[in-house]
Amino acid sequence: MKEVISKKQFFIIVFIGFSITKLYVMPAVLAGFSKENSWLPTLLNFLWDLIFMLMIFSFINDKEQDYLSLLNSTFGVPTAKIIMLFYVIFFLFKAYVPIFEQKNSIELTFYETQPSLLTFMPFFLIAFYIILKGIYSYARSMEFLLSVAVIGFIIIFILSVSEGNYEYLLPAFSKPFSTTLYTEYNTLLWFGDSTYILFLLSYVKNPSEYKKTVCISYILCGIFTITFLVVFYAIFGSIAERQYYALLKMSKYSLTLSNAGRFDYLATFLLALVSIFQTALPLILGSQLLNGVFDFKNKFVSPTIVILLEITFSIITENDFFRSLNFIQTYITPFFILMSYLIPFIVFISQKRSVNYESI
Amino acid sequence: MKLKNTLKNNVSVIKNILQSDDIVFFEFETVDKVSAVAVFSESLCDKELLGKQVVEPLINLKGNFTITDAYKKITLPKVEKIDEIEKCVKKITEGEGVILFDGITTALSTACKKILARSIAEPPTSTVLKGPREGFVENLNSNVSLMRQRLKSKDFTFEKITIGKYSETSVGIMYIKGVVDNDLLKNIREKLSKIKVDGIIDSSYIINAISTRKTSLFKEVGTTEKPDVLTAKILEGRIGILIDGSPIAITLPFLLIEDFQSSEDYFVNTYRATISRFLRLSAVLIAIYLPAFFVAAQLFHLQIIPLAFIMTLVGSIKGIPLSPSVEMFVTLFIFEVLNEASVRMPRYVGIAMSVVGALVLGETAVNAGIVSTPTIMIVAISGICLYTVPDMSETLSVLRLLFLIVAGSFGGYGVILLTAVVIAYLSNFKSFGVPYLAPYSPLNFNDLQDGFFKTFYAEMEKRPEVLNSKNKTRIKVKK
Repeated sequence: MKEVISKKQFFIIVFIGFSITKLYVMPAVLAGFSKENSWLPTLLNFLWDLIFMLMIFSFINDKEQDYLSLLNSTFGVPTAKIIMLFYVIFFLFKAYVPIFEQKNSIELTFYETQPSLLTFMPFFLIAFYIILKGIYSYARSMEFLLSVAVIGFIIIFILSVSEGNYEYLLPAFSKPFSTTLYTEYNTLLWFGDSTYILFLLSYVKNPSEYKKTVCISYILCGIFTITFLVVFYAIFGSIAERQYYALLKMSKYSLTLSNAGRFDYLATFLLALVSIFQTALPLILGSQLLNGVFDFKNKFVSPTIVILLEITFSIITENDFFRSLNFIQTYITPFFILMSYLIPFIVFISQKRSVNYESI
Repeated sequence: MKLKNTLKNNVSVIKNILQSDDIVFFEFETVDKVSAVAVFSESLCDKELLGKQVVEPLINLKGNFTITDAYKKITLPKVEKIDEIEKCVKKITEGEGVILFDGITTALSTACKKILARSIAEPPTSTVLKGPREGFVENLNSNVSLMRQRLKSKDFTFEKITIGKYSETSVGIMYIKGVVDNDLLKNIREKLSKIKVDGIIDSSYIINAISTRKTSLFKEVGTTEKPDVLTAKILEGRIGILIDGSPIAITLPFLLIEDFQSSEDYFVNTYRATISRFLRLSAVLIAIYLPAFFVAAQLFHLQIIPLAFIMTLVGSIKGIPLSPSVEMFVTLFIFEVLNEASVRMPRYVGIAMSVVGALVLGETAVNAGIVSTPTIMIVAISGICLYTVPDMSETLSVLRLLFLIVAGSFGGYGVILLTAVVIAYLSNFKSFGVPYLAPYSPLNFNDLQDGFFKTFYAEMEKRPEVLNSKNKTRIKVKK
């Protein structure tokens, strides 16, 4: 029997995987733009992605075809291949930010001495292994890591939730809507989750049956992330914008830790483990798309290319992550919008028309 | 080759094939002077039984008797007529007594095999406080009888095959018809039939031969020395394999969670069983990670250690010439050597060895300032924890070493990365088509009832779904 990503696996990927990558640098960036209202642009981003996911499913209800075949039928094979190459670049960018979030959090928090990129290099080796094992192995690993993630989040929450001053979040709607939109635009690089859904649905049997699972898990992911942001801002208040790597810093003021030692590191270790797999997701998809374009005979070729490209990006920008982040926010976000929303929208609209013509 | 009419000829052919000093050719005559020869292996055949139940009645045969007359005279439950030399030879080497008659082209094979088996006792590796204490022995028939006592149903099936060019070892496949996954059974039959080997000395030979990932650190099949455990596994839909000459039965497919389950879990209070399983899990995690994290904390992130403990630690590691990772490695090495020596050395030296190992070596090494007290403590804790799951100890000791190496080289993040590799590897690992990490990946709520949280036996209505059994229900409790 052909293997598929099960509904449970999909639920865990969306709920745990999609939320964990938003909890390192994004909370501080949000706080920088929207201060106490940082939950609002996040909510809008989640809603936007949710609406887009509903659109995807409304189309899938009509036609049980995966996104790649839809690209082919809409644009023709040669153009579709070029678009797929653009998706490879898109996924490389999508992987870049979490990779550096992980690298910097490891260097700044876990180590006494600052190690070089070389210390982080084994990550790429592991990512290569995970890519090679494929999407189903990733899904099964995420499923296995469910309890690990839950334990990690519970520890962080228990230690931090009582340390916050929730008055910092008032007034609730102090910022003008333009600021909210601006913040939303600048944090889009952490969103566009519907693109992952689009590609992940190629690995299931009846995509339309996954609608409920995906929507519920994404709503839960949104609630969880926003709760996290609220607690984060309540703890740090006006200095929140300088607290990058929120996941590692939120619990450090707990009184329990001063007596028992930094056992919150246990939680950060657990969540770092989950992050490794989640960071590998865009690389897996990028590698499989690359293989789809060039149809390499050797299974090692496309993972090697993807990993080498990512390593090259990382080496070039090693000491300038925040400048790179700024560059991505300013110049690459339109590309993200194009790949995440516009192209799928065009594909679906054109397919919808063809369905209508067929029915006439 | 068919048996000839003349006894002399047949005997000389068999003598030619079986040129071994333990083969006895006992000549006798019936009352009416018909010559006959009983051929048997002195070491395998029960001579008294052969004499009383076979030769004595045959001596009383009168006149020109047929082979059927002779057959009827023998008062043994299992007698077989044979007309081929090769079959005669096979029966003799299996321990049966073969009777050849002059002027008759058919021989009689009589089941007079001597039972060479130690008595049934509790296996030393799986002792229990509550529950059955019987263990398998090296004799296949005794082991099958232990199973038959527990599974009397007509659906319980035992299939015997012979493997080994020279050893001709009997290997038995056990399962319950209607419960077992037929595809799996077919697969196992095929795998066993393809084994071409000189001899099967132990069940581990079969394990190596049928495993699909032969180089894997993780085992693909389960083993047990207890018939009650094998019965329970077969009832769940698994297949059991017993090998003549080995007290260790094989069960398959095998899941990682099985190593954390003990037969006693099913005989004690469910809450206690759940606590025990979590204890085993914690012990396994401590055994692997404690030495690694201790080294990583000392080398890379001291802040993880509480302040009061840091002060104690600094006091004890002051003046130690070795780096934390080398110190831990050396201590673990000594522990492994002591462990290896204590298993192999004669018992009477054992006490002296433990005194030398634990007291003299440990105490002196600390006093001499070669290793620190916390390191010895951590190795000791890790060593004890390792044996809470004895079936996994080989795998865990290798993993512990690997984690120690990466912790010393890359710190805590190295440990996380190696954990990621192990998880990615295991999530892809299958034991005869069944996911190794089930019921946690793929997540199966029905099968979780016998996971780390164990539910009451009466609530375990369904067999594990992951085993793909045709008959899903195992308990029907009227409510």
